[in-house]
Amino acid sequence: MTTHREGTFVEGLWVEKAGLTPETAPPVPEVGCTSAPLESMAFFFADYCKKYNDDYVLCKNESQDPRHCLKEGRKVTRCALDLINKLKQNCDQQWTNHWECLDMNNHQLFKCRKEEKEFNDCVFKRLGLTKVIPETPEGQTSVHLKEKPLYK
Amino acid sequence: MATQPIVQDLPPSGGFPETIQYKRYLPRRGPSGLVIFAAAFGVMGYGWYWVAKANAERRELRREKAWNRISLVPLLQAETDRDLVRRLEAAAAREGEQMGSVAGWKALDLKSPTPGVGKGAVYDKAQAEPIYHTERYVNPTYLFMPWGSDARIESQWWRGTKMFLKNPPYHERPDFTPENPLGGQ
Repeated sequence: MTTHREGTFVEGLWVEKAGLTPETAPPVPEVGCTSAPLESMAFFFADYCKKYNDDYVLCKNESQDPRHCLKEGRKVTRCALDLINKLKQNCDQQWTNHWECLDMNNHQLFKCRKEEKEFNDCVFKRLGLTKVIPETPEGQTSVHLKEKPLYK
Repeated sequence: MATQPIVQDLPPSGGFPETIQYKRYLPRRGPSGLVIFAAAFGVMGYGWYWVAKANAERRELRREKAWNRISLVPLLQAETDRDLVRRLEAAAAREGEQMGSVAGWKALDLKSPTPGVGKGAVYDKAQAEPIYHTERYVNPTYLFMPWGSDARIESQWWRGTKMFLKNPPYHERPDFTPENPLGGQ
């Protein structure tokens, strides 16, 4: 994975004002969500955009070059934007409640199970997406579905 | 020497009185050792049972968090890719502008022949060797940034500190008014 660090020099910061040239990549709006809404919708994003995500990750596996996967990356971003718009149209209030709770609770998911349940129910009812934590041990309820969690 | 009858020291006839206890007397009191042992292990076992449950749940929570972040990687990485390409394009343009006079110079390319680089990493005007002999992608190590470039801003050492949250500048304090800029004091 090509990691990106902010261009910080000893004597200044590297701010680049030039945009991407359209022949390299057509412009795509950025998602622009902060960490809490993203954390809140992460599992639905993984479910909703699975095809594009898999494409993109396989592409990244081929090359470290950031230019190599711009097209796949745009698809991922467009898909994420689509999901965000749908969430805002259908479950805006529940989503807001959940991510604000996360924001106030150090981003600990187990602190916001009540809000999460409302949000998950709404998303399942309206969009048909479910939160599935991969690699949950056989025969165990997922930690977000526990009736009596020890941590709450 | 007259013989005397032998007098042997014997208990009094009828035995010693009952008040003198010459036998061990240790009655069994309380539960047996086995029961205490079992109870202690029971209490500890119950505690450990919940400790194990809590550990398992915490492990699951950690996994949930990890997968939460893993799910977001494509989204964040795609955004990062675009930003990186944008920056590298601009940096290459800037370097190309500066190095336009050097024939055969390819800006921000460490894999194409570079004029001046000789075999054995020596400076030789006559040779042109690539820096890296590889098929893989190589991220540029150094960037050329002219001092007067508008892509450079003053270093912002306060980034990430809480200094302006705890001690905001006077014009951002709640009691600031244009008539009384220093506030109520």
